[in-house]
Amino acid sequence: NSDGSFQFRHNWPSGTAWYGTKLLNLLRNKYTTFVLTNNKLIQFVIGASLMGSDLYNNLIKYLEGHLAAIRAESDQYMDESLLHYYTKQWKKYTAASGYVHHVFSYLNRHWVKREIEEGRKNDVFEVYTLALVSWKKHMFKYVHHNVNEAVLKLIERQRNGEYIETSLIKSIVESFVSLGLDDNDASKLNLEVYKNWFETPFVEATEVYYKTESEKFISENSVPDYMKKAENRLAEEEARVQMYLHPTTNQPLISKCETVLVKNHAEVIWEEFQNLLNYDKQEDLHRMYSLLARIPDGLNPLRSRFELHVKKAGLSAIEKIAEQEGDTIEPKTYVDALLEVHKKYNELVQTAFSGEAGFVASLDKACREFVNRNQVCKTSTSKSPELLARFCDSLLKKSSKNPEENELEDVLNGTMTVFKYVEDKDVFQKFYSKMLAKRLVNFASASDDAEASMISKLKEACGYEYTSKLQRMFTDMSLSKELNDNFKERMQQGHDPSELNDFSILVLSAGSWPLSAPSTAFNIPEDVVKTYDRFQKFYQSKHSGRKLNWLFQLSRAELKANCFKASKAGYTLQVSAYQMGILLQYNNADSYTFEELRDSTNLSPEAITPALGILVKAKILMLANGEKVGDAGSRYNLNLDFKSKKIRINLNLQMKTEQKVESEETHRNIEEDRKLLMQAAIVRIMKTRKAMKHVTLMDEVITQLQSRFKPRIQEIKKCIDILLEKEYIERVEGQKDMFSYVA
Amino acid sequence: MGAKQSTQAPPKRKKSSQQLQHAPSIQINVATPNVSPQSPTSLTKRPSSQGTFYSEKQCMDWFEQYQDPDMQGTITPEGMTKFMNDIGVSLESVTVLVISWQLNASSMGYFTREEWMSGMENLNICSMPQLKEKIPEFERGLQDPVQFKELYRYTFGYVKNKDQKCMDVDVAIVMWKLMLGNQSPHVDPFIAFLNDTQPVKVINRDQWQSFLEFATTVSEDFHDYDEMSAWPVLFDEYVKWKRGQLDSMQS
Repeated sequence: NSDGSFQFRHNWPSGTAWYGTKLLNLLRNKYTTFVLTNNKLIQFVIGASLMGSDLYNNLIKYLEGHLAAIRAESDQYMDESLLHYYTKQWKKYTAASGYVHHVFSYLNRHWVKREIEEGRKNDVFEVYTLALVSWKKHMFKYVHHNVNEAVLKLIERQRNGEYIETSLIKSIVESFVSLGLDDNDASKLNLEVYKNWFETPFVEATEVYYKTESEKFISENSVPDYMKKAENRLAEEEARVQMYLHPTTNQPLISKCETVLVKNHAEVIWEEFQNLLNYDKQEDLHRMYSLLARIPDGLNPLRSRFELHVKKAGLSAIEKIAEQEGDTIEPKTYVDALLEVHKKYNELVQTAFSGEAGFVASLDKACREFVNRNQVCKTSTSKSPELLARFCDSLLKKSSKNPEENELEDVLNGTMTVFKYVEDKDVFQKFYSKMLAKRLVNFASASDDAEASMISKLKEACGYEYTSKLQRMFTDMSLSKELNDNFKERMQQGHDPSELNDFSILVLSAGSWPLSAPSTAFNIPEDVVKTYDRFQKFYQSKHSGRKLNWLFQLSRAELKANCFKASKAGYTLQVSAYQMGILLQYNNADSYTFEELRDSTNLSPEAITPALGILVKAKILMLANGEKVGDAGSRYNLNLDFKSKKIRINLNLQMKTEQKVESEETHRNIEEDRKLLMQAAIVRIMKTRKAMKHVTLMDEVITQLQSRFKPRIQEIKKCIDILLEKEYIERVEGQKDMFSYVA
Repeated sequence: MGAKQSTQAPPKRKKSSQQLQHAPSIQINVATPNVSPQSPTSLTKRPSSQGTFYSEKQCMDWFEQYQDPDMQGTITPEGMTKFMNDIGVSLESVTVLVISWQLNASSMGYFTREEWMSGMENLNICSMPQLKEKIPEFERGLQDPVQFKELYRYTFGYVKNKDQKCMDVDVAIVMWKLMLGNQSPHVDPFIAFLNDTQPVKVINRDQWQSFLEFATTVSEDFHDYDEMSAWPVLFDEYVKWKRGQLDSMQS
């Protein structure tokens, strides 16, 4: 009968032999016939399923008796010896039960299965489960308390640093887990027993242990030492779960430890933060970060303190250089100071705070503060972008101090870091384009690649529109080159000796270049006027209808001077167009008064005085009859004894005062431009929205413009006043703070 | 190098500054005698006690008594002074404004014939006694905030120079004293502010119109003044100035 027969090995594992033989006796006597085929293998058949119920009940009774004996014996043990006894018995019992389960395979498959399916009773189980249920009922119920206590004692000893036999605990945990039997479905695992009789008391004990320990430790040791301790303890507990507890314990255990070890001491830990920052204790800072990151809102106080700290560091760095350098601060010193602070704390964020977004935001906020508002900026947020643009100019301008190519890229990236924080990006744009124009007009740009690289960075940061004019400037430069070549060809075709031999010009579109018309009239010297006319005609023939405005204030010339005794070969003087206008007068006479020069050049006093000033300072002209250059009646004599070591002498210098005036003018222009931008934004918004609340309108204007500058509320309001007056918008009758668009 | 940046700046709009002149909205309508009589605050609704008699001829004769002999068809300041004297109205009273408003006069100190004739006809008045009788009723009407607001708004166009968009600040100060002097605690300090700091030379229409609301709604200590709301900048500046004064008084 293959159906009702079962084969099993007779060689019981040594420890379970008694169980097996007793049981077999029981079975043999009453219910079954055995066929002993040889010493090792028994085949037996349980024929009568009708006997199932009897068989089952006898098994229950048998297990009860068996377990009662084990329990009775357990009374003599306690603590670790109890654990030894319990695990030993448990292992024997479960192994044997596994075999018995197989022995009763027929019962399981028929009587038990039917009982369960028919659901007459819910206390019928498969045999192995029955064994566990019995253990729980007759053994576990009586000993679990002591067992658990013993386990907790053992763990506490381990926490105190003693060596313990962890496999003991591991077995106990396994036993507790196995005993979690689901009432509805015995085959399912249920952790209730483990949770109730082990985990909960264990977590409670942990809390008590660490509460005592941490309070004592923190009162006797420094916070950094405490943090080390806490970090170690947390790591230990995590390892403990892995080593011998059920993985689900990780969450409640660690969360409890975090509360006890970190949250309960958060105040003290927070207080230490400033100290660690002050002394740049990166390791401790990282430890503090990792610990506080574990608890809800643990990092918030750190983030705001960090922000304040960085802001202070930035402000004091700037204060320091402001004291050293006074009013005329070097752009490089300034930008370097800003970058140094940023670099230091950016690294700290990346290492100590793992680049966490909240700290990144704090860093950005702090940087934005000290970049835009510091002692050098005073009240104006437009000082930083101006200095930054000047710094860029110093990098991109031909100079002996130009950085190496690969280094330059890094420095430019650094400027972009500062640029990111600059609020008045429009101011930067203004100054940058002014200085770019100068570099290009004076052919003073160090490298086209570097220029292009910087512009592409700006484009990436602010979009196409921000750099479109800058790019147009480069286009004009290359167009001008072609134009010059064409003009040269034309000149060679019919050269008049009275025309200049060497002439080059830049034709720049007015809309893209931040250049303004000269503020003074100027008589073009006769030596130049022919070439001037010829080019004018040449250009008109190519582009009729375009108007050329000559920017003499930006023009340069080279004069060959043969009049000085000191050099037979003569000197070459590099001069501005205005200086040229003055010096060419001396072809006719050796001495002129201020008024004579002014009238012959037609230059305004504001233009002629600085031009003369440099000539006098260089001792090409000698001032006579007058206190200082530009005085009424002052006289300027050509200094025929002029001497110089150099053959080429550059006299085309910009005065510091001129630079200052220019800077002020640029700032003023920016104010005007902003007013127009704000008005345009208001009209645009109102045109689409038709009617809008005052506050919403303000917000919208700020949102639209903030990528360029931060509009001030009062300034926007002034623009609203202007637009009300111009009747672009009006107040809505009867509705407070409401505007509507006047179509 | 003439070309400027291409930033779009809104150009000045050309619009007739007269266009927004407000005409009095309440006009007499004698054809509906069943108008509810229990609204004593509304102007000129009831027919005068002299009945509904109106004579165009009489009205014209009356006008001609005051018109400028050198400027036919217009009553000029001289005639105006006489006219006001005759009807017993002080030139420095709000009543002058009310009467001008009722006639929808466009310039201070002047009535044109057209204004006179259509205004008087609307009021159903053709003689001095009829007008005199109406005056108390006009004055009572000013108690009504809606009507007062109408008058206040009318005043801007009426008193400013016709070739200007705005009102000279001196004129505005006089008008504010006259119209709001005893109605708002802000009038005197605001005028002091304008005199002390001289922030503006003229008052524009928006500032004029907003001041009525400001003067009648904002409390004396500004605790309810909200810088975030849409007041003209001039008022923000005034509040700042006044607060500064109050603070320095306290300390």
